[in-house]
Amino acid sequence: MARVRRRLEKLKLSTLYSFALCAKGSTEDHSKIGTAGFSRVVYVNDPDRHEEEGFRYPRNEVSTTKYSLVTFVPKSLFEQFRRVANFYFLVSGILTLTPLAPYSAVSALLPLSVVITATMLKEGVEDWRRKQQDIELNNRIVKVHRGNGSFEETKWKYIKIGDVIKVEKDNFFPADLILLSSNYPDGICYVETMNLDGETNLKIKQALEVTSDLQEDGDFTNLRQIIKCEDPNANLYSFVGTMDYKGMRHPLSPQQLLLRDSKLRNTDYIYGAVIFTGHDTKVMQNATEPPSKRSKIEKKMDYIIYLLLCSLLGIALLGSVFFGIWTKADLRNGELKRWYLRPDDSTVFYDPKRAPLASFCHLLTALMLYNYFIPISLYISIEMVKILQAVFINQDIDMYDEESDKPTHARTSNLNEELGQVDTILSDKTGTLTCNMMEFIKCSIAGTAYGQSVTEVEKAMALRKGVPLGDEIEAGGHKEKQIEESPHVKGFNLKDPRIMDGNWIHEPNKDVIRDFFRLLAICHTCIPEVDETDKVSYEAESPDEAAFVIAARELGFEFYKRTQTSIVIRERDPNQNVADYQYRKYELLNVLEFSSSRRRMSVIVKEPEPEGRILLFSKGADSVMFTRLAPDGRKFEEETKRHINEYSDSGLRTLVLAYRVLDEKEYENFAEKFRTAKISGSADRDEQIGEAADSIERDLILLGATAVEDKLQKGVPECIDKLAQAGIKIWVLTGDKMETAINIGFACSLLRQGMTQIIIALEAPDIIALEKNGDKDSIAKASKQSVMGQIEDGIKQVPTLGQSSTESFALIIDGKSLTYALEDDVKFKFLDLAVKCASVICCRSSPKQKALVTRLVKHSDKVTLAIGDGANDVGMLQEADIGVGISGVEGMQAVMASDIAIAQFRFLERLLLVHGHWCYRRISVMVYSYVWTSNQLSKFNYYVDILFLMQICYFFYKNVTFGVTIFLYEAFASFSGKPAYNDWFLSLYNVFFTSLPVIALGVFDQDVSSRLCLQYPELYQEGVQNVLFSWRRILGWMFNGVVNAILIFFFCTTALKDQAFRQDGQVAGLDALGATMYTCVVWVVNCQMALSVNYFTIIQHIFIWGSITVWYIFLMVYGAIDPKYSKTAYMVFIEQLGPQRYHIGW
Amino acid sequence: HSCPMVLRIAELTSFGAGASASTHQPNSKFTQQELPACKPILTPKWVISVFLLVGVIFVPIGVASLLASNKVVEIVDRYDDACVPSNVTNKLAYIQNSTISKTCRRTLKVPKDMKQPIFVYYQLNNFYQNHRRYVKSRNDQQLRDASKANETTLCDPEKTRDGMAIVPCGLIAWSTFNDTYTFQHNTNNLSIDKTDISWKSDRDHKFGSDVFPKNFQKGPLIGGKTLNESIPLSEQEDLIVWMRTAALPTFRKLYGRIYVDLKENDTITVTLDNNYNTYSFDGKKSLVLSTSTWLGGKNDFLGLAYLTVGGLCFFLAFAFTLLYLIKPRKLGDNNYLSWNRNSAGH
Repeated sequence: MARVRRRLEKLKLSTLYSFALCAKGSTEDHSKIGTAGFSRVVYVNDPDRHEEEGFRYPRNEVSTTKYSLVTFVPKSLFEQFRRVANFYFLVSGILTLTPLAPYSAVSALLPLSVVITATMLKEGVEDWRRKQQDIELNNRIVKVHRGNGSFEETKWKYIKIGDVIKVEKDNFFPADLILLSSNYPDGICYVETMNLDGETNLKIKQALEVTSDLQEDGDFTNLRQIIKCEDPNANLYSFVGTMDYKGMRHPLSPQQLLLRDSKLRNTDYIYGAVIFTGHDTKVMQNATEPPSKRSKIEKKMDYIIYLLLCSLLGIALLGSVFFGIWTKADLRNGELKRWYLRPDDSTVFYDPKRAPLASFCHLLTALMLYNYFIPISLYISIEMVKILQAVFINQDIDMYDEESDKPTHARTSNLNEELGQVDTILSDKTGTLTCNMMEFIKCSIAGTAYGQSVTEVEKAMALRKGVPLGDEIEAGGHKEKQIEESPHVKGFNLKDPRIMDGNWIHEPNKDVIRDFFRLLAICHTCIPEVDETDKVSYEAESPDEAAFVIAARELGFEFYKRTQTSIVIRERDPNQNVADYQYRKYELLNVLEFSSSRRRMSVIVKEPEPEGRILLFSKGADSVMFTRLAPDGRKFEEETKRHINEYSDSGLRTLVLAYRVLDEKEYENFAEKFRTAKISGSADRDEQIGEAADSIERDLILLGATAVEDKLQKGVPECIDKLAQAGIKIWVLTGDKMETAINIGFACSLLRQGMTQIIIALEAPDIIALEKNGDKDSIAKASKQSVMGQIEDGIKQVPTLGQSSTESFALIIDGKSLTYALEDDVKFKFLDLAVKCASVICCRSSPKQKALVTRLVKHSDKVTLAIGDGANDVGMLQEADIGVGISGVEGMQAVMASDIAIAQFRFLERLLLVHGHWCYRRISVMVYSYVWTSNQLSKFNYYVDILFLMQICYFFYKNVTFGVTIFLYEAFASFSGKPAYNDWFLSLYNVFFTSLPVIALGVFDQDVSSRLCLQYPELYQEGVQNVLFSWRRILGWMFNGVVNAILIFFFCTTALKDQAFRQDGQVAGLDALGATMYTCVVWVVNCQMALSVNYFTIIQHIFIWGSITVWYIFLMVYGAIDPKYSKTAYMVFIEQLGPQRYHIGW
Repeated sequence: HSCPMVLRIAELTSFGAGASASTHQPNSKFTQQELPACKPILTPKWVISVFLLVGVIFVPIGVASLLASNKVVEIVDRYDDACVPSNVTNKLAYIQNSTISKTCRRTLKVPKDMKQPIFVYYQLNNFYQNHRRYVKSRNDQQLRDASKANETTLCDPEKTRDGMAIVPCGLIAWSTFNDTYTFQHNTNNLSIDKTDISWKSDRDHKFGSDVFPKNFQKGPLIGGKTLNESIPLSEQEDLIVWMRTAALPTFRKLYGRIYVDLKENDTITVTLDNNYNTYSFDGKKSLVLSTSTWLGGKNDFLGLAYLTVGGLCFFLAFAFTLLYLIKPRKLGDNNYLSWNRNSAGH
């Protein structure tokens, strides 16, 4: 470790890079400092002065909780009553305090308060967890300067503006800091901003030169600086400020700004001055509530509530009218009709003289009475069901990744049932379908192909064709065994005895091979780290680069050391003598970095003596490299091209390697040009650099090509196969170029051999020509027309739905075309085409395009699921109905934005096909059973219409059954508002006697086992097509329900009519009838539940039969309580219903 | 775009994951949702045997219930019209006129042997004892507790008389049925046992033995029965019976029991005081004499219902058997799966 550091210390890395990484400070206007919006003043190293000067800055303590101790009760209550149903219950609860109430206030308010309390508890627990996180974060330790050059460990929350703090390697920055210095002499440091933007590559930050010499703790004793800068804002990539130091004013840029929540990497320590704390930090300023997604069923639930309120109002109105008529008739010309009601001496509620008013009051009473139509426990029960479902999803061992120790994590439980209805999956590629782990697997050197490993794609293709890989595998397998004895090197999977273990020396083109691997060892921007055992590991910007360097190392060309001006390679003697190393030190002259427009990178080095040649090593995409070859450098062109095509077909990423020997003069010319370009401050600086580079990267001599496998994640092709069988359409949105995307498409069986590919791209010659000429408008116009044309052609190609299966079409579109395809007037055509294709691949798409595509798909009213792992997928994840984040290597960004986090793509199969299927089925069974008891046939059509839009649930069913019996009884009680049941029977119906089985069903039921779900992915279509809500089913349930409720009522009233109902001659009163009818309802509703259950485990038995038992126990216990409280239920079971005979056999 | 709380939540997730890392992800039949379960598959044999079983159980129950119901001998005599002299046109005025004697004599013929005890009921029609105003109009505390005699809440409008609380207050008590019956059998007076006609729990717990009627029926408008102020409420069984309100507008209430066996074709003479006003609301009044069995009074419905359900089950079992024999379907045939069906269909 020590060695590494010493070496790095001498290295001024900032000079190594030419293009973007160290772009000079922004040109933002520093004159704004001090004006509005730029008012912050920070006295560095003098934190107490701010208060004296009257500046008030927040503490570094952050709080992300929703509630505080004080606001919890009012705020969460408010949240509760924003729900339609809860509000309704609150209003009716308040009304029960008036004489209008048909039952006692306590019995009505108690269930409400139980439900509200439960929900509040849930909220509270969630918030408490957030609090715990806050506390953990606020109490982290960092070193703060406390005067006299001594740094003390302090908790994050005590950090103040102006503090100078010391952050050590691999620690997070506690606040937004201005970088003062680091252990590197030029004051640079590496920062990982994964938590901010999801990018894993390290970013370089650099301190001002004037402060970079503050290297020791002691240097800070007398440090005084004044930093003036912008006010807190959410913009992560801009910063304007100045620093007054040693009498000079220096401009500050984002280059000096270290953001909270990013991590110090590759740097032993840094010193920084705190300028934004706590909620002022950029990261906290960015804190927005993630958009809350509600599942479709949930959205419909509110409509259902409205609908029920309407029907309830209807019933209540009907009752009130009759009540009014009968009440009015009670007193005619001073004659009392129903004299026993004393209509002559009545309160307003029953006064025949004011019948309309009485009727209105009765309406209110009726509304309260029939509120049993609306299941009070609905929300909480469904919430509980979903939480429990989520728990099961989280605990599923089959979706747990042992390697990364990550279980599936359903972050919101709202969307479980949507998992069962997914129509389209929009997937990111890198990190999602692939591991983002590159393996050097093959290469073509001097026209000879090396590497015998079989790629995933080849396996997949062989599997599809049904051809066993046969001899190749056998032969390879034999050798593999030998090789596998040596431990597998991460990133390297080249298996070829011809070049391994120094055997390359015996190959005919050994010089080319040597140059090839030297190039790999030199032409890159990696940084080596040598540990104590002299083993080298690499820090690379991209996994591809690491793979190259590792490959070179494995072949004996070990990139060993990098200094500011040189690269040292440790070459192993090919003659097996391992201990014999030869160090070759290349003088590093220039690095011409990779950029997406150049699609190549080069380094210019000077060979060690004796040769001492100046070499340009270059590697790049085949499309740019082959045109840059010298006429005499094309010796292996044919073979190499052929190999590259083969590699591409096998889904590999290829790069072409070439070199060139420069003579002194040529190089000096270039160097001069390059230097001028680099230091020029003009706007076209980058262009000038590009031109300079372009001028030297010519006349190259081809060495060969590399093939790197972007490893597919485990089980991806199988998973995609299953999902496709389940009828789910899969779209891949990737930033890769088209060829790679298509390769991967084949690799993961998105594209199959027999498929017709419809490719939409902007590569027509006329457009390219236009692009060169530059007129932007005409380019846009032409491009758009071209895209339009291609889409229309595509539509013609694809047969309209129904004619034949859509199976065999795949749409591939590139980013540029996508821009036009997403424009308002084209997009629906594009969508038309896209939905008819089994697979869609969008290449070169930007994060924004990803989100736009997602939004577009949502337009077709299908449930979309987006899956991705990187920051660039966040927009897509948030836009989709369900966002699934892969908790893989690319940081937590995507996971944060997701609704469900899984560790591997393949878990999607189980998540959707098993859990999705189950959850969907469970919720919808709860939902549609409801229907069957709406009592009013006249309303059926109305219901049915709306039912398509909204799916109503079992809760509603049981409540309506209950409600209808109440209503029917009303008809026999002259609509006076007397409930058939005792107050507490009424209020506990939803809470105790009928809710638990529904929850059990919701959590545990399964129509088919997980094994069958996976075996027959077609079952999934049930959800997508909403079969469970089909018309006939609903009507059937409705009929069943009406019959059911009416039967209960008339059976009970007829059986207990007016005759003695037991041997000793007593007749059944209201109490007996009520209890009997109630018993029937409890039995019927629970037995109906038993019939709906497909999967009878012990749990279901306990809940269903338990609920019925609980009712009897309740009846006994309640009946034993003093009649003051139990009223009509007093002793009703013991004395009257003792031998309970009236169970309806269903 | 960028999520700010990444770090903290990253911490959270690792916190969560960390917990399961140390304890390992639980793996049980429960968490994997693979608990041993019975999944009833409705095979033809299963369905048919269930139907048969239900039929076998229900039909005998139905037959037994029907037999029991048929064994009950019931005499129902409607007298509200008959007991108003035919020359009276305004029945309401007649019944409200307290000066006229309203004694009425009815002769009943016993259709079959009636074994004691014979229950005497009065039956009212179109009388809404379940009206909310009516049901609520009582005060249970007052009925139960002598010290709460002045407790008259809810008793509107029969609360107080001249500022004094009415005991028992409320509309129900006020409108207690007050027709009386006496029976003669072959010139012998038949004694009616009026004890224990109410529920025991009512006598013991709801009506106090030290609560005596007070100020009852003293108003200008007399509702029904007047109560003897020297008898405690717990012994006023007619009142107690009346106050256990009926569920439906047509109801019977127990009047008393006769412990004499009656022979077929015996005649019984009933002398009744026709006091209770059902004329204003077109209600009917009937006198009912009935025996009882284990199943209670006469009601064929239960038996018929059992028989119907049982019969239906037999029929369905039979129909399914036929269907099963004529056109059997292979269980678990993949051709019936929706996707197979669809592709085959089109």
